[in-house]
Amino acid sequence: MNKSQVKLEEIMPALQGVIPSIVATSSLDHIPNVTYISQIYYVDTNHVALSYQFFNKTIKNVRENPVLVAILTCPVHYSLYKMTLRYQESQTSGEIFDNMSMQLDALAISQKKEHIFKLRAADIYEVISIIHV
Amino acid sequence: MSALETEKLSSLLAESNRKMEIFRKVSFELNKLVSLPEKLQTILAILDEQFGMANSLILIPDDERQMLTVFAGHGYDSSIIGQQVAFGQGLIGLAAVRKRHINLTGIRRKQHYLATVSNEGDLNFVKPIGLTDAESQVAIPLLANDELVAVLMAESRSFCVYDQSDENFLITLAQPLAVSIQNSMLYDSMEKKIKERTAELQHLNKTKDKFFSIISHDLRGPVTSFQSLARLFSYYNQEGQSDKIEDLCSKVEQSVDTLNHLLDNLLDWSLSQTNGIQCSFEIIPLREFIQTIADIYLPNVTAKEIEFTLEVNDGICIRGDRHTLATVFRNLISNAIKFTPRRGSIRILAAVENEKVRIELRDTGVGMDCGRLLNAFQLQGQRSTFGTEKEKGTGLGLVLVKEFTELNEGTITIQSDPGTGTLVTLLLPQGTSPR
Repeated sequence: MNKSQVKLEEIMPALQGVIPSIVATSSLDHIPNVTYISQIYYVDTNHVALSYQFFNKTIKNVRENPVLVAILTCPVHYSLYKMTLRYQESQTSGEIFDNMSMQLDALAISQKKEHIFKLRAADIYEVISIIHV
Repeated sequence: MSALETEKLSSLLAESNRKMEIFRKVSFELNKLVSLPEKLQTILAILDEQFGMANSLILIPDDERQMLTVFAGHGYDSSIIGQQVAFGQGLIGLAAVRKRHINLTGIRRKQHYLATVSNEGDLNFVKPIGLTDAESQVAIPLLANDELVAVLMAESRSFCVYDQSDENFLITLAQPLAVSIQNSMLYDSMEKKIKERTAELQHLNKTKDKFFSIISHDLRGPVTSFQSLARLFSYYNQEGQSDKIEDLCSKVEQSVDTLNHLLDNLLDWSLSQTNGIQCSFEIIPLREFIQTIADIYLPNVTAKEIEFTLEVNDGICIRGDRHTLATVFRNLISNAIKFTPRRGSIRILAAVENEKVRIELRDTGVGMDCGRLLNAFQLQGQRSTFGTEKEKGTGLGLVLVKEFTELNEGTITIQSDPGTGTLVTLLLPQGTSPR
């Protein structure tokens, strides 16, 4: 991790999906897209994952231009963090995928919506920096 | 090392010490010789006291791996014990099916989000087991040799209660917990098997006692009577009283009948006790069947001047095993004759009711009091009762009747009062009349 002022482990509550995160991407021709994402998952000290359930603008943009900026809110202290990420790969199996899929299933099953909410992939991002805003 | 780093390290050390202490206490509880529910209940209380797990459950799966049942609960009212959750249902069911731990927080907000994006603004939850408004839940499958032994679930109304280190700690704790639960369940099942085996042995012992009692008491009677008869034969022969010898012949016949009946019952009963009865079901025309058995007792009926009527239509058939049903009717008819006084009456009626044949056997005999009626089908405490003319029995008759009626998928009830006679009602499966 380069130049990050905050370590990923220090912002674990912000990675629990209690408060949705704001993510900004841009297409190859520099058209920005800002949206909300329900959760950014912790993978390891240098990586996070985003769920890929529906093909949307964010997914399209990071496939073309792999840099993503996210604003996360800590639900405990309400601190804001700006995280810069670089898209690495999309996983459709393995431990990270299974864990994310299980969390989504647990929520969907309790509402009998498991047929609607299916994880298509776990998109893995390298954490470039985290800044306390 | 900076003051901040020292503080962090101290805090980590304190946290490690606290977890070690929990481990020590939990291990101590796991080694105690107490019942499994009590053990698990204490462990959940320790986890609350030391770890802040105010609401927690331990659920055990059934053998079919369909349902999980709450075995121990902490922080809920006692009604939670015994509640069930299906495999695959909610956080607990999912952790059980996938044998993976799961930790969720912000549950209600996330569920609202799902409801909104699926265009169903209203929440339509499957009612969870435990807290209805939990925001954080962690479910840890307890595995021993990769086999699911139980699921530990903790929940809270607050956000971000269980961090990754808590989760890891619970996963570590799950190992000895799973092994201990498995051992306790194995122990319980062995205890259960021992109890079943003991009950079986006690039953066999009582059976053996009854067997010896019959041999030593009831079987000796007819043999002694043969001995006396032999002496009388010899005496009358020496005296040249041939008319008296002729009288004795009918008594010999009677004794042989009694002995035969007793031996038949004894053999049937021995076979039934050792599961040696092999039923062969067939369609039996009822009237003909009962008549054949009643004919055996014609001399007794005639001797006591009993009015015997059989009111069974020719078309009525039952489905059952001929041998065991013969024992049933032989005993019922012989009992009725035995306890009906001279010039009394015995009626046997049959009618078809909802694919069953209802057979009623009414007599105008001495009847039974409430105490005798209650123990009519019990082996324990049974004593053979003399008939109205001192006829002997075995004390096994009604015990056999009930066992064999049930072997034939039938039921039996007895209504009786002293002095007013007895009504025995049998319900047996109806058979289609053979063409």
